[in-house]
Amino acid sequence: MYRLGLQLSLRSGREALIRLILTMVAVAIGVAILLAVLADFHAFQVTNNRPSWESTQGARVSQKSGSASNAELWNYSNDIFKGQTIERLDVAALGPRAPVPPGISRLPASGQYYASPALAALIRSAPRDQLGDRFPGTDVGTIGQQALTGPNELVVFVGSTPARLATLPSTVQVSKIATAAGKQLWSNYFRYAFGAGAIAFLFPILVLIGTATRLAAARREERYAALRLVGATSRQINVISSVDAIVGALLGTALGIGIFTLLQPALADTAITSARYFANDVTPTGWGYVGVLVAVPVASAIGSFLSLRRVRISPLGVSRRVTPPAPGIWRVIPLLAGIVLFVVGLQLTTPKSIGAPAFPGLLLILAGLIVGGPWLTAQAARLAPVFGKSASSLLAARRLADNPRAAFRSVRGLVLAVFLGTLVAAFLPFANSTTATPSANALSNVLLDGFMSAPVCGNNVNCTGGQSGSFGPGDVQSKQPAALQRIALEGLPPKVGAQLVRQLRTYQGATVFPLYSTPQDASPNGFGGGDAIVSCASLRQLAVLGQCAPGVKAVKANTSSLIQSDNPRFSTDPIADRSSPAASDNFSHLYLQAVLVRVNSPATLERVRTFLVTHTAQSASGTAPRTFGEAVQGRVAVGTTVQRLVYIAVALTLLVAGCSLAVAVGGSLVERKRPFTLLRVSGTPTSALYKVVLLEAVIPLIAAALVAAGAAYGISVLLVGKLAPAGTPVPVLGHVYYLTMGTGLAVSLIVILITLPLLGRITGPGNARFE
Amino acid sequence: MSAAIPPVAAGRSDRLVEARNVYRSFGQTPALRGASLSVARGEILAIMGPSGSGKSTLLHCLAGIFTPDSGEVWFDGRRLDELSDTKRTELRRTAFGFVFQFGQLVPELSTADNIALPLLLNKVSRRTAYKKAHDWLERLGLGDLAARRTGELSGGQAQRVALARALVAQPKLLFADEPTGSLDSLASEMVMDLLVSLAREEGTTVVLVTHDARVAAYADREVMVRDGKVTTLSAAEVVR
Amino acid sequence: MSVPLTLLGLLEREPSHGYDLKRDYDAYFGRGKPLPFGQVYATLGRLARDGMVEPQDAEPGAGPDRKRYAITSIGVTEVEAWLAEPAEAEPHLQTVLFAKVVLALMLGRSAEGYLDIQRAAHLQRMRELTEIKRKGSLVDVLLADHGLFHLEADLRWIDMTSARLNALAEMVRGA
Repeated sequence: MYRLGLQLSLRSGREALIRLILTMVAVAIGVAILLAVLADFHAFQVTNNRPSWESTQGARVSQKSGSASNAELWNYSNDIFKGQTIERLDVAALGPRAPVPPGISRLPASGQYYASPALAALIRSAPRDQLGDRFPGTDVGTIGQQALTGPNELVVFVGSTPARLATLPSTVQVSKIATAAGKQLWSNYFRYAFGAGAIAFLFPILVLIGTATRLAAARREERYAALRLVGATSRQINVISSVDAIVGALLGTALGIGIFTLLQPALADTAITSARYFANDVTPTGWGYVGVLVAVPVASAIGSFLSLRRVRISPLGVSRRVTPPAPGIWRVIPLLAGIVLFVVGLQLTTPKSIGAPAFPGLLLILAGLIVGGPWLTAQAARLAPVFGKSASSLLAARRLADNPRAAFRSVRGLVLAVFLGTLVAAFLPFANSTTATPSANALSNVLLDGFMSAPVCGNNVNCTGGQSGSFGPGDVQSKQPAALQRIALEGLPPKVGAQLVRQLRTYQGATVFPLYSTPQDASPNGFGGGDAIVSCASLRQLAVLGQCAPGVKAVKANTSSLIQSDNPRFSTDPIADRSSPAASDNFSHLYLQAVLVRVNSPATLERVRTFLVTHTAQSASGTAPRTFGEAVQGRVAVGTTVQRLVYIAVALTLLVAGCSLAVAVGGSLVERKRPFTLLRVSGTPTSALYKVVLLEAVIPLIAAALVAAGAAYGISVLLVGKLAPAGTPVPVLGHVYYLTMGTGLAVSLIVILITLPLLGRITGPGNARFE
Repeated sequence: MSAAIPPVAAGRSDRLVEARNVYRSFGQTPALRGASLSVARGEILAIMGPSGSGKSTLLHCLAGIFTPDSGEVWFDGRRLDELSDTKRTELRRTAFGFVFQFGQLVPELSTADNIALPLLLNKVSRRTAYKKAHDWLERLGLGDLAARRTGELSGGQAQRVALARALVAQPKLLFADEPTGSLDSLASEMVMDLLVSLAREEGTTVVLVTHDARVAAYADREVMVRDGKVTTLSAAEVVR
Repeated sequence: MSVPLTLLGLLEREPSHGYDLKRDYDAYFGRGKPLPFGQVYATLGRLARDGMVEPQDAEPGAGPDRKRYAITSIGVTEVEAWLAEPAEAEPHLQTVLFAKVVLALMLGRSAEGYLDIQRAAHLQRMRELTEIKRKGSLVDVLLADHGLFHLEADLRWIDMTSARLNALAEMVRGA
């Protein structure tokens, strides 16, 4: 029986062969994409689960630290070069048995450093005063893959002395390096988004494979009826049908694996999630291949079996076709309920938060579109004859009205994807704009460096005030001499500050605006950075930050947000206005609180930054000085990644929707082969039939896309209208969105167009057998 | 017996469609070997013959679906086999009607839709097309089936609808290929009765291909196709 | 079943004695009922009287059973006319038609042609009956249907025989 099935599959003539090849191709495409998703997810998982030394917890540095022989001092910080983050670890061994971080063979001594391959290349290629000078000493080796998450990661381990490290604010004592996973590179939220994106990929592919299988099954039904007539039992038919399905699926899977293998190098190269993975991580792994090889044919066999069950093969074959019942109006209920909920939630929305009912409302709207789709299609098809006058539009409209469920089935995934994609595209710029406010944008090339070592700490570090200079090991408790305390509260002493400003001003392309602490702020328990004195000349050049009353030379400004907040939305609020009290413009005795440096080019920025990193104390936040633009970028990065993923999912879904539409249309052609052939015999031009096929495919495609996009856009506009401060412009969809949608739709159309010659072939008048 | 001479119609202009010495092969198999036939205006002709005789191929050639390998096909005074495919398609749409044994109606369309279809394809306005379709349905006594999907009709009803569709555009020539082949006796009778009445009323010439003698008996005249040639059955033709 | 014409036809092959004719008749057309000798000689006598056959030279004083008969040109014409004339399109004419087919084969004529002629006659009759059906009362319809079905049965037989002519020809000539 298996051999018979095999023979029937492989040797049934040209039409069957073409069917087999088409199924193969469809399955191959689906499998290739499936493997790509598995590979990417595997890379994501592996990367995420890599032992992350960065999350090593340390202990407070204390007086006893000097005697710990199996510990070392760690100072972990972030630097930036040309928008890329550099992870920097300054490490100093306290004894001979200090643990060695992964990726290197031994700890770097003072005056040595290890760099990751990408960073080493950067150091070599960039001018020393822009990058290399930040890392004191010589490059003694490369950091291995175990310490990195991707080939593009910039990591440096810098050797130092305990004495120097102990003076830095974020230093900790480490005796055991973390080997646990979970670098928190991606928050949970993002992991869910990735999972949802993977499902958004998989769903249309499964639909595609299912449709291809079902199409092949439809043609086999006649053959099975004949077999039943000669006495084959249902079980035997099932075996034959399964063999048929498995053959097509196996061949398709093999082809898909081949395609994937060819494309794998390119996959590793594309930074889909905005971080390149190591090439050897981007693999579905042996289990993935095996899984696909087993699961896809099995799923095809099951699908074929199920589709056979739905149409019981009587010995007389499938006789009269019964019209399926029209979709009931109850289908609209979830959509309406969702709309109601959403509107209620909208009323409750304030700029601070989104009203709670809006979330379930949104989900219900999405589900409602899917559930109510067939009903909407049926209504639209009923209207269609009003618009189309030709015979072709009549045929297409009736076909859609006859079985709206089938018509909608092909575009279900598309509705989902386009809805999400439009939602993200319309909403995200707003979400970004909460960070990238106009003021932040105006200051995007202005760098901020604060000198107060104020207690803005992160990463569970023990932070105290400190300054560049020599200190003995230990003795970094909060009992500081008064001078140090003053530095902690007010910044750099006048002479040091003045020299710094002078040195900064020598850099071409850098404009320096110093901010001086007001003397009254020197209180023992106060935190610095409340008031500052700034010259009105500076303020005029930084107009976003405020203005002076006319005729005033210097004002007292409020810099608490500027210095303390790390959200550019708030940190770029104005610091002074006309009512700000005037101050003396003699700054020679004032402590330098901070500088704002406007740079005119990336090169200048890096030079200034290199200078500041090497000449001033490290900021307690653990980040090198950065521009407001870079601060915005950092916050926006996650959202951009999500957006990218969603766009790719949408484009892919559009393509798959086009394929599954083409397959569905091909199937419906095969079903109507005789009437269409005879229509051609009766003198119907081929162009009329082409038009029918096109309309049947294109109308659902475009209608679904438009409805989903329109709904999502409307929702976004309404939400943003409530959330955003007054005067925010209506969200506009960027050209990346239109490009993605347009390309996806165009490719779908092309795929559909490719099926047209098939129509011409199978309805050729020569094919009609006149009995 | 020598090759039969087709019955001569009174004058050239009386012959609506004519095949002259048509040869047509499919690959190695010759289907027509010098078939000649003429059909007079307004007559109902039955083409009979065993399967494999080439009668279907003859119909294809007469209708302009195939062009003969050699020989001529004339319709209404013009050479049909010399026309381009587009022109022949147009001719089939405007001047010919077709009824087949089964499967010509689009199942998801209503009967009115199916009948209106040829008119819509000829760019007639929707209103006119549907008016005519409904008139035809009344004429056939199927008025209450106007909105019913043809996939749900019985065989006899479907063939009557097919007949209406074939005649709605008022063709000069109706080709019927085994129109009652899948019907029982009573339904067959009803359909053939209808076909002949309508043809006579409309003045349509009919070429009827069948192997069933009782169907052929509805025609005015019959010819046999045997081994790719056309013969007539007339006592006067027998030669020693 | 026309005995005189059948015998005449058999005679057209070659001059024969009476008992040869009877033997052949019984073989092909008797269907279990042999022709009585008396009928044979009586028929031959009548045919001779009508000038369709003529006795050949025989021993003087021989009885009719000793005579050899030959067909005359008038007889040939008669056979011809009979073969060419279609039988009344009535049911149960297989025997007559069968005889004609076999004889045609024996005589080397085109049996196919005769079948075609008969077919045409049948179809003509069917046409008439169909016209009656279309216009007549229900009783007419029923009667016409009856006739039509039988005629159709005959036509089916004619088609089958037509298909078997080659085999039949071989059998006839071989005998």
